[in-house]
Amino acid sequence: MNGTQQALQRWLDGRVERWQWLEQQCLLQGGGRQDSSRSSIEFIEGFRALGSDLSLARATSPDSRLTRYLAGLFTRSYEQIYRRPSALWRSLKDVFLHDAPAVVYDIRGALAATVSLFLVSICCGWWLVYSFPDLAGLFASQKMIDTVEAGDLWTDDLLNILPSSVLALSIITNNVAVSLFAFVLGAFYGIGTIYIISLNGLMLGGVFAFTAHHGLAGRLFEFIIAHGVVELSVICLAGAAGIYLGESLIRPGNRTRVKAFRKAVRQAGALLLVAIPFLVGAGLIEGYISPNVAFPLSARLVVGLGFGLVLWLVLTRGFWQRHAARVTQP
Amino acid sequence: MSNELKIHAADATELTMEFAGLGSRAYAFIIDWHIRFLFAFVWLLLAWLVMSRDGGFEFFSGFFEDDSGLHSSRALITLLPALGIYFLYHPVLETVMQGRTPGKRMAGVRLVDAQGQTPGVAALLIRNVFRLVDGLPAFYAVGCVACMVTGRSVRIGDLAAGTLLVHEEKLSARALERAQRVAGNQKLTPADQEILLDLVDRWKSLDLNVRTRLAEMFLEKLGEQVPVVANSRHLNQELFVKLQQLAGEAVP
Repeated sequence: MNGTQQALQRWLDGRVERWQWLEQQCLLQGGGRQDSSRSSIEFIEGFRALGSDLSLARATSPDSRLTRYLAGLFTRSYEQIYRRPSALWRSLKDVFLHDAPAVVYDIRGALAATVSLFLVSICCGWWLVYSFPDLAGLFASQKMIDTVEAGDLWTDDLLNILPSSVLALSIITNNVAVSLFAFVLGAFYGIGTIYIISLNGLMLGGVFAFTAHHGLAGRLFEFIIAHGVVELSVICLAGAAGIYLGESLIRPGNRTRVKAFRKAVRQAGALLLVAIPFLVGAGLIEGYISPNVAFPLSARLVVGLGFGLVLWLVLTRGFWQRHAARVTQP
Repeated sequence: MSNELKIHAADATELTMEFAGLGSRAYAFIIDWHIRFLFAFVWLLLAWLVMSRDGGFEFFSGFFEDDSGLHSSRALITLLPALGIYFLYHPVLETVMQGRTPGKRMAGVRLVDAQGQTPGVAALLIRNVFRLVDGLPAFYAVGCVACMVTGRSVRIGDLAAGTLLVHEEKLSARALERAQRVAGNQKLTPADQEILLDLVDRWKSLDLNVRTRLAEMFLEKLGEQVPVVANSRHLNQELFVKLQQLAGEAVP
């Protein structure tokens, strides 16, 4: 055995045990095991030595298996040492109490624009169908049209077709999908979001106009009011979030487009994280209360307006906090 | 643009991670899609078997017929976990497995952030919500185009979340033992050691004539005696034994 070979063999023999120990520690720490500070210090020292070993291996045999093995072990050790502390519950609490209300304040312009667009679309839908009743087919299926023309609402026998649980589940899935689409389609410079919000507004206005034409608008309102306040609010919030994404791409300010987009996604994502549980609540109300004739209008109004009030109280904390900060400033 | 993520750690060490391309990404996704589809399907099948004591497919049509509490809860127990498996597979597993899923693990890739760390829960959620955009109009067309045109081969969801898909170098502890054994052979330079281990590893996947020729060339280069056997299969066997001996491996 020549000198170089002997040195390599000795080097390997002297290091293998330490590398294996590091590998074991990576597995333990990756599994969330809390170790003593002493073993943590040993781990850090082992990582530093591994860095030297890796440099040496890269210099002598860059593409060898040994170098690849050491590079992999080095990456895993690096991750264990530099990983951020987990604070999921604290982060969630911050999102609900501070981040989301602050975002609502920051995107108040986009929110006002979205609500305006939604209201204009409702009015357009109403005007279109009220003026030209034949256009109802654009917003309602033939079965719905037949039911309304017969003097009934398609919501009257919902519970005879589907149990509340399945109904609620399908409504939640649909509403969450619509809200998420309204948000993510903002990535197309906001155009996708404008399309979703306009379409939903046109449908709502058109369907209301069609039922009003047959004297059923009051009953439709009675059906919608318990869940509609929160449902429509969340769709508008998701739309505002989407518009905000589009704006970040059109006017990135002093950031690059990618960085501005990423920041907007983070902010708006916090808002949706708070809004979507309310959407789940609205879906349950729509499945269990709205189609149930046992609930009178007064109860529906209390549920709908009360739930909506909770949502807006949670989300407008940002306005009260800023107002309070201004008042207390000298 | 370089196809590697270079990270300079606080202690002056440098880490490099190679970005995964569209092929690895698609491979991982196809495996994951099959897994989540199979799990959701098996759950529905089991629910049907367990709860259909009233009789076969009538169970499924049954819970749409009325709103009794029994049918309602059956429907939820059946549908909710299946939907959960299908839609939460990626965000939940990527969080629990530190940026990996079974499919990504099999494809040898994982998710990291710009610092080479496991992305946070928020980033992983954002990344998965943006599948809605990447999946448009069908078969992840937008995502595929984004991967092809971006320097780091990322889809829109990765751009939004600040995540990167990188190749994961994970050689087993056995690889270390083998490297240690072969390093003791004075006839082999580091380059020879790599060739030898590659040849032994790929032996069975190579064509009979190709592996015979390669083994003979390698042994001649080392000045080792090449076995002389008339039968090609026996020669092949002899050569393999010889290579294993050089690599310091136990010969059966």
